[in-house]
Amino acid sequence: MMIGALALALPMEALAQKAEGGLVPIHIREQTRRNLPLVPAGSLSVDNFITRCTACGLCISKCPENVLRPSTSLASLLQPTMSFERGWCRPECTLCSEVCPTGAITRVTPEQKTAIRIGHAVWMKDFCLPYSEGTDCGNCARHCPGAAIKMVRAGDLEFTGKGPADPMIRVPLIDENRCIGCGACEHYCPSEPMAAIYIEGHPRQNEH
Amino acid sequence: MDRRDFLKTSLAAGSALALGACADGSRSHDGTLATRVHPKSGDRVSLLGFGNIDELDQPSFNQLVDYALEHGVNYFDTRPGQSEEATAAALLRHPREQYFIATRFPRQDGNQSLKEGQEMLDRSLSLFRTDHIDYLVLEELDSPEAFQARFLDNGLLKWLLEQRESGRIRNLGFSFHGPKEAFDGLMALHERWDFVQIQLNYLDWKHASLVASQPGLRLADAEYLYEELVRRDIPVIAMEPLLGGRLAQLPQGPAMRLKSRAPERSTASWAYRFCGSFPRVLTIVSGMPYLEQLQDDIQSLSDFRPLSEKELAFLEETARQILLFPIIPCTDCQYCMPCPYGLDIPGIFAHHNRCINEDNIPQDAMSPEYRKARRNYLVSYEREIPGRRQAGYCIGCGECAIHCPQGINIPVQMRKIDNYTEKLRKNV
Repeated sequence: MMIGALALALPMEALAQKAEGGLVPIHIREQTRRNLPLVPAGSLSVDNFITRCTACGLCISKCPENVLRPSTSLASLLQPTMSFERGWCRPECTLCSEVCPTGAITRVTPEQKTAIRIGHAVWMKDFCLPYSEGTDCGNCARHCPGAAIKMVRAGDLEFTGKGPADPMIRVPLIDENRCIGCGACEHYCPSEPMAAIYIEGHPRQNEH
Repeated sequence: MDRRDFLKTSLAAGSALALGACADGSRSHDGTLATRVHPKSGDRVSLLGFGNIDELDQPSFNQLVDYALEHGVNYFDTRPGQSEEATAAALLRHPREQYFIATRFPRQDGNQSLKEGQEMLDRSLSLFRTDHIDYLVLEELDSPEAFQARFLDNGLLKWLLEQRESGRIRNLGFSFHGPKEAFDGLMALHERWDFVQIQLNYLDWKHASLVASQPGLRLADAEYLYEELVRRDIPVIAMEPLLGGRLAQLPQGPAMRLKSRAPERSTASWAYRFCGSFPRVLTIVSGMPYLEQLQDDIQSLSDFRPLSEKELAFLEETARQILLFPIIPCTDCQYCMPCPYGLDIPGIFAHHNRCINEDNIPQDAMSPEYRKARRNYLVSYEREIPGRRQAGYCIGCGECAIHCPQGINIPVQMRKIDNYTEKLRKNV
């Protein structure tokens, strides 16, 4: 929240002396801590993935979006972990499943992949710009390849907790059923220091 | 002469020699830089004016200023902020009578009070350690409403006119880039300006609305503004002669067309000679952060002859060809920056425009050039604009668009570029 406030304070200050150009600093996002682990489509389940993966690193070297990287945790050292700070898992890309030699990631076609739910998006509303900065955003909905997110006016909704101050501002509604966990929303979320929408993994991958 | 003086003079002589040598080595300056005389004040102003440069280190700044002064440039345009400090520091090393100082009253969020305006002028005067500013530009005065709010309601104009009377401001004018009606409205409110600064180049001459490429925004052609100003006997200062560099980095077709008509001249030289061809243009201001540009531009306006009717027609035809390319009319003025969400807006536009110029905008996935063009586009995009500064992170807050003097709808353009790159990335 501190950094969020700072990011808000910076442009105001810059606008006061009006546009000397320049760039606001960007904070490199830390890897999201997920309650449930996330594994690539085709892995069938986390158990299958962990037992079969030999940490050869072929999938990591192939991943064009840098979604896969070697794990640093002791339990799964050097096995790939997934995260969306640098890119997101494109539905049409199946490179990791093509190179995996052990069946940790079984072969999937792009058509199959678009139906495999490796996780689902979770909304962290306190970080979401309509709440934290009172601005419209909608970056998650705009980038969702499965149209699983809709932006809806806050005034039309019934919140259990506190809603945004402005009833005309729009907030994301996630259709978990259509979400396959590709991570585009998490990747493109502008919220700092962490994404206001992120992917929770599915220990056993299921299909549409 | 003591030791320090000796060192100073010998170093100065050495650097002058070195500079002279490099000028001779590449392209020698034939003749002298053209000048124009201000009809009222009698100022003899160089036809090339030294434009505002942001974010340049002081030694490089000094080098440019020294070179410009040495080759006849005597009009130095700047605006409050870091660039004014750097310009002052460089110019204070020369006698005050060698140069004219032009500085500005920038547009701000919220209108200035009379006191703030007075402080701004005092600050500029003390920065240049002088008792007069030669040219004061009321920046981006684009509508009668803005004029009313910024300078009439708060009594700032009245005060500025008094300052002109007392000689603290020698010439008072404004810069304009907007619709016809706005210009006429401004002129109806106040006509006694010593100059007006307009966007003048061979695209804006007849096609200002097309250049801005935003539907509904009907900008006045430079031709109209120029004629109106001539009719009122107000000298014109030309800004954006190169449209933010766009006329120096042309698509290959138009570039070769210009080259074949004058192989020994740069493409940019056409733009300068075009502006200079209008007799009521007092000076052409352009930010030239690189020595080779400064050299070339001085060369373009040295031993100057206006373009002939034939050459003007040739340039008009070239302008029509250039406008066929769907360039985003960003001039890299940086007024939109910084973006609160970290985007590099001018960088994204510059990359996109360059890809258009170099024909690296793949459209048809079936065409044989598609894969190469796609790769070129994506690789250069990633290299020039780091992830978090790319178009995909635009949330459409619109903070930038209100500052854009070209009227670019930045959020819409960002969305287009994002959708386009997304389409390219998808077709692995």
